Amino acid sequence: MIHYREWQAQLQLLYHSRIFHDWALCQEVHLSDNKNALSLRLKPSQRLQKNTWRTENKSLDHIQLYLTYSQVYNEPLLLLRIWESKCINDILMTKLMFPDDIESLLDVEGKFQLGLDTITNLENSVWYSFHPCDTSNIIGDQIEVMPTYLRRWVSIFVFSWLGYEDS
Amino acid sequence: MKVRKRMYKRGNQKPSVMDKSLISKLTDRNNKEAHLSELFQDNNGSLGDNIPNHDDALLNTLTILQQELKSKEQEIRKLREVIGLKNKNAERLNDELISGTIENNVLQQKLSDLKTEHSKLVAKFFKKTEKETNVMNTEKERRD
Amino acid sequence: MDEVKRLVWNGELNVLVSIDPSFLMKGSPREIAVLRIRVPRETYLINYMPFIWKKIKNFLSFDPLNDNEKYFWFEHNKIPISWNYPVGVLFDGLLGRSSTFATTFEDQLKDEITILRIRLVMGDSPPPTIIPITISKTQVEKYWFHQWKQVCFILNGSSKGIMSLSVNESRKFWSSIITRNFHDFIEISSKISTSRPRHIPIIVQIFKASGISRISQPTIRMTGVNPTLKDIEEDVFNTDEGMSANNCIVICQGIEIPWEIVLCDLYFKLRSFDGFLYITLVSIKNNDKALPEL
Repeated sequence: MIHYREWQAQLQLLYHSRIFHDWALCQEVHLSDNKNALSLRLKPSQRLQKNTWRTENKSLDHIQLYLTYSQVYNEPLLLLRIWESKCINDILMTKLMFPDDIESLLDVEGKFQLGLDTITNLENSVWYSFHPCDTSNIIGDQIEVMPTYLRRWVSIFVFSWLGYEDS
Repeated sequence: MKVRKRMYKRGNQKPSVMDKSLISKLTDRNNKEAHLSELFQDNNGSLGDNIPNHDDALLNTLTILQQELKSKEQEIRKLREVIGLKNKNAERLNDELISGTIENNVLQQKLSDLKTEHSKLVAKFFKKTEKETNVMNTEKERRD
Repeated sequence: MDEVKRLVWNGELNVLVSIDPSFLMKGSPREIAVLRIRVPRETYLINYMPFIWKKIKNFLSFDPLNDNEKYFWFEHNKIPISWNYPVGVLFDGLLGRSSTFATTFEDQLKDEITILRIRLVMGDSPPPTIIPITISKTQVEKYWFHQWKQVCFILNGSSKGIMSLSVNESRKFWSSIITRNFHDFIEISSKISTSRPRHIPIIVQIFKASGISRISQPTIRMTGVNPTLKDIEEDVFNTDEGMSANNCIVICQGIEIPWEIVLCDLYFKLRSFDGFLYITLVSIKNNDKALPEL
């Protein structure tokens, strides 16, 4: 687990490290005004695009990630939404996608558990959340490695399945 | 100390009083919400596995009809797509027709311009030939 | 205490489900579009989806379970209803939202009925606050189990309690909800709970006099003393809302709760089947005149 204050400090460090700005998939990155969340807009990786086409017969437009904090688990919390682009009456639109099996679509089966939830802090909107209950075991929270907790969390929860390449 | 007192007080708070009040309120709630419940028995009180059995033959017909409806609806969807495509084609043809007409108009204009120029040139030529003939004639007359 | 729990568990509502005509073939008998069912307060609405599909199956104009371009959800008076809260909580919420929704106690004496009226509708995309209902049979069970995991974490600070349930016990736990087995439910849910919780899992829905509503999940830390509901007033209200214990009544499980109740007691007696304590706060309109008894 990580305390809220510590997490908040590490989140700012992470943002200013420009690791997201330099990420080839990242189209937008934004630190919320009260500095307790980071939102990202990503273009889909080719593998994801292909997966979506194969399993859902849909074309992926972009991925939205929201990095926030779970007061319940005292852990970083990753929220996700995916958008398809769709032609409706000759107008190209983006629309939220709710695939039957999100874990297999993202290729994270057995690694992470995802579930749909309404998020009270985000006007009760619907997001997939990466269940955070096992986070400490996955990341390791021994005192000597705590300063890099969030950095390592991002590597595993975000980059490990999306892939990191410099832009 | 004050806090302790409060805790003590609460610890001794006759639990039965609060419980009794909750029990009576909940009993009232359940009675009230059960009012006319006999009209809400489509599921026979369970999650509902007991849907009445209809006549088998009728059910078969129904399944067939539903399938047919489904295929018809698919057909409609496909035909709509075809219509959409045809409409688009018609539109394109129309566009081409319009651009053809415009081109035609331009060419017509050019043609009439050329024609005018042509007749002007012809008139000029005639004038010139007339002049030359006249000159030739006068010269011939003088020589004669 | 068990008597209170049993009464809570046994609560049932008259639910009138109307099916939007867009689901049905033209010329379907009218009565098919209305279902009158008795539903426990302590369950999810979508546990009734299989029943609803079965009932209207013969009259469907399309195949909703295999059409991945269509979404469906429940509405009340055009307001989408979140299926992921217990039915009783939805009912209390709708009651809090509009007093015309249900009949008052006096009206009931005049032979009126208390009904939860909902409508099954569909569209190309679900409303932003509604979790799409999928064809997956385990969707609701997974969601519910995840709620309990959170509850376990909030109560004990770890998910050990729930993770140490055997596969059989987990199965029995969910099936107690479906088959309404009070004994099994109490037996397993008490394994997850502790008598000295660190925090209280609570979800608050607030209805302001202006008609605006809000849902929140505050963190309620249990320290030393046994706090009452009044003591956690600051946690449930936002300071800027001008609402307090003085101008609000608390509804939980369809009954009005005194602010002086000990929080822990309230939690263990009146918590819902997903482990959370849901309270509905309704601001008292006409100054100090309380709403009629629910």
